[in-house]
Amino acid sequence: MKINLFIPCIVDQFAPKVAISTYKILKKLGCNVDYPFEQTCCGQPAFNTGYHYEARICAERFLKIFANSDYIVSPSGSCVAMVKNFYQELELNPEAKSIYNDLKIKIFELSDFLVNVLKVEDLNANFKAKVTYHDSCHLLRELNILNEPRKLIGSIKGIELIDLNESDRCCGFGGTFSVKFPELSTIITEDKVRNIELSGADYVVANDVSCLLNIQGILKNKNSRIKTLHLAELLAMGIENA
Amino acid sequence: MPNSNTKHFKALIREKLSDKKLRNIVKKATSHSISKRIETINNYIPEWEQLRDRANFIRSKTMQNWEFYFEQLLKKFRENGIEFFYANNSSDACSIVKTLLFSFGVKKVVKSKSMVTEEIGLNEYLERNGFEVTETDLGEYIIQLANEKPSHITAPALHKSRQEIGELFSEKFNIDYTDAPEKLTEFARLILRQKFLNADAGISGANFLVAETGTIIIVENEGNARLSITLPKLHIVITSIEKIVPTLSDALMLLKLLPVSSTGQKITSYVSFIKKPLQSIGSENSQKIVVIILDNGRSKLLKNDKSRSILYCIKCGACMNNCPIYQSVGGHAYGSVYPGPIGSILTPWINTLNESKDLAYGSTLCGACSQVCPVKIDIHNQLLGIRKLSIENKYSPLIERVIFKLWLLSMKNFKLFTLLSKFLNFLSPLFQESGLKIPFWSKYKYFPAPAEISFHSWWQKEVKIKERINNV
Amino acid sequence: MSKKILIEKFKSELIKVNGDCFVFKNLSEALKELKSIIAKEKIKNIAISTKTDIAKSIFDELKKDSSVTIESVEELNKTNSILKDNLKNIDLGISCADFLVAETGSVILKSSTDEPRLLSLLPESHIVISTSEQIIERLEDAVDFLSIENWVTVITGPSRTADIEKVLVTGVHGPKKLYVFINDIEIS
Ligand code: SF4
Repeated sequence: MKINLFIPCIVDQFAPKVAISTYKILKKLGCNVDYPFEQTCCGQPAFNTGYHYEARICAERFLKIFANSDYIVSPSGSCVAMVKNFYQELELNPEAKSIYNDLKIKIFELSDFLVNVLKVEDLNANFKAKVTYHDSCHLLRELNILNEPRKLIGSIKGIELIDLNESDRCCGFGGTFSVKFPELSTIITEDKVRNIELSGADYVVANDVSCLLNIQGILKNKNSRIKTLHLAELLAMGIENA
Repeated sequence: MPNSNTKHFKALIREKLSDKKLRNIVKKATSHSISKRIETINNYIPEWEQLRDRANFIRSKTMQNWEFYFEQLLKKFRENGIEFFYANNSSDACSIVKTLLFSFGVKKVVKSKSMVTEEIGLNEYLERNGFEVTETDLGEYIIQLANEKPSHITAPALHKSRQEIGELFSEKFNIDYTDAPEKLTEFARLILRQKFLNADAGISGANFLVAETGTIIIVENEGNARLSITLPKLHIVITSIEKIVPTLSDALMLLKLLPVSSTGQKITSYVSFIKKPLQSIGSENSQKIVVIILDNGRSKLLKNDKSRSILYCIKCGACMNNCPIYQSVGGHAYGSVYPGPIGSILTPWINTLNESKDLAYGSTLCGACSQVCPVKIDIHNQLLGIRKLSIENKYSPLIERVIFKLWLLSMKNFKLFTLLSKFLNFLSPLFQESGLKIPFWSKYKYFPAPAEISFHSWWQKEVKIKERINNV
Repeated sequence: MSKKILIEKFKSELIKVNGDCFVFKNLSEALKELKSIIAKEKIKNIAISTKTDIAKSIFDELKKDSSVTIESVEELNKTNSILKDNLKNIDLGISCADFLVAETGSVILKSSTDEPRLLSLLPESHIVISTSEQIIERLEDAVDFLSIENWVTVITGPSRTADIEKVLVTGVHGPKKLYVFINDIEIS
């Protein structure tokens, strides 16, 4: 069984550590991991803004590159949701459509893959910190992933997982929304940050780099001591510590 | 028509955002509704998700076969002695009401809450024509006194603080200031009771129209709808085409979801089931009931497979309560009659798309609305649908279209993608301190510098080379 | 579900929505409770629907009480004056239930000339007389009744609003108090 990594463009360019961590975790678990090298973007930014033509071209390209995968794993809930759920809204060409029908059940977000496919809930990791967890919208509502990340975080020795008030409320990112309505986006992010601060955690963990960058955008401006951390990074550091 | 003005959506949002007091009131009120709703579902309705599926099924079946149920309903109305009009648009609806009121010699009208009458601008229209119109739902009454518009479909005065309401009452009625909700409510009761007793006609909305029996169902908590439809001799129901349900059992099923979604109540204080006009007692004349059903662009949706689900809405307000945008700016920011997520997807169909498309962009697509919607409207997909239509119609700014063309170019051409990526990596050191500057974003939020090595490059160096070495 | 459990469920649900429930075995128990409500709410004028025998007996008994005036809807209908004028100064309306719904603590009332809608609407206090025979589990169980009758109201607790900052206030336009009297026939 070979796993094809799907690394969203924003991770590729702004948070490669998350991708490296994902790779290391899967390797550690003995998986055969490959990275289809020509991959770029799944088309989500265009799709969400209403540019279906542009999104469709990206989607067809993506499907061609990932055709015949056993599994596709990605450290991003929203990009997985794009491929898995929203590709069906695009008028894909017949070839792409048939690849899509094959792949849509083979694509997984990382925590989903670990807990539900590999049946791993404890990575024998070690990390001493107080963390809180933010439910990214697409992860939670498109992919129904609620407990998997919490189980994985909970299994790390030394970790104290603190409940985040309104953990399932959007962080205010919303892709182009945050550029079209920057003030509004900021107000919502500030609500999120307030709840994170109230939790008393040292780290806020999530499974989507875009949410984390957005939250970090405010934390950093406030000179907050709280750091953002992708679940993959947390797990990989924990594994190294063990 | 005195419809919505969504042109200045962004400006309105900015204005509302600067009002911190407003934000606190709206957040507090909506959070209250959110927790009540969850409490009731968790404590009493373990089968909630199945109920939603069932409700979605009923609504989709009804809207798909709307004409059939509509004919059935009309037949029942005729049998039951209820008069009926179909209004194509707002001005038709308004003039039907006016003609009716004139022919009955009506001077004074009491109204119970109805969003459709807001949609057609009925109050202003009737006042211009010399009628006295009194809103009787407490929230609506407050809004009418303040000369404002409802900011929420079930709680019209949600954006007002008790202090504001206290000041409003003291100013309008020359009474001592009080901000105690009990006292303000009692005062309104006394005033409105007289209005009820002296009214010549009552206008109400309807929650459901049952095709099988011709029953009009009205759901409320205050008793103002019951008074409006009982005391005057003329009762006008103004509602829209999607209120039809096939059977009474279907209506009861939807009734299980509606109040829970709105306020967390298992059922509202009053649910009225009306089939016929009230009979005369003693010397009194018997009552007359007239139902006006408004189309206003909705029948376009009946024929549209992709967007028909917008008509499933039972107007519970849960989507706005749970919307982070609504919670941050309140209902007036939308500038449309129906605010919040449902407003953003319905308004483009009852107004023009070009005028109201921005509403659909004022969303993070977080899906909280779809998650709570009792009839399972795919609200966030509908938002995406409107965005798509707006792009197809080239309503987006040219610069944005150009950006996406260039973006596509670099995403489908891997060489170009790599080149740009390398360029970003190369620039990385420049932005280490300050972070990357992104138009609009960076005014409020930090954005990190691009990585010095992208994952693509890392993979090539670390994995590919090692593999090659191992293979040798 | 047994009647007993249904009554208990009804009672607890009604209390949750700020209504009150009183289970009685015989007329004298009902009258005693009624009089204490009359005293507590300072009630002077009563109108009653005498659709059922218990209601009739209550009417006859209260007529003897000189501290209140009571009129039956039947009599009022004969006077040829307008109903709303007759009822607008009434402090307490007493009506007869058609069904009680245990799941939600609701009362189902159909309106008719002897049981006008206004009786449960204009007065500040509203008492519903019912028997344990009338209790059903869920609203759906009354679907046939709802489809046959021309005017039905389902009442759950007193009139309420939360339009000012979500603060619950009872008695906006309808009654401020709602009491449901249940004659438990099985026990008596
Ligand atoms: S769209 Fe759904 S959640 Fe929103 S008001 Fe309508 S029924 Fe309620």
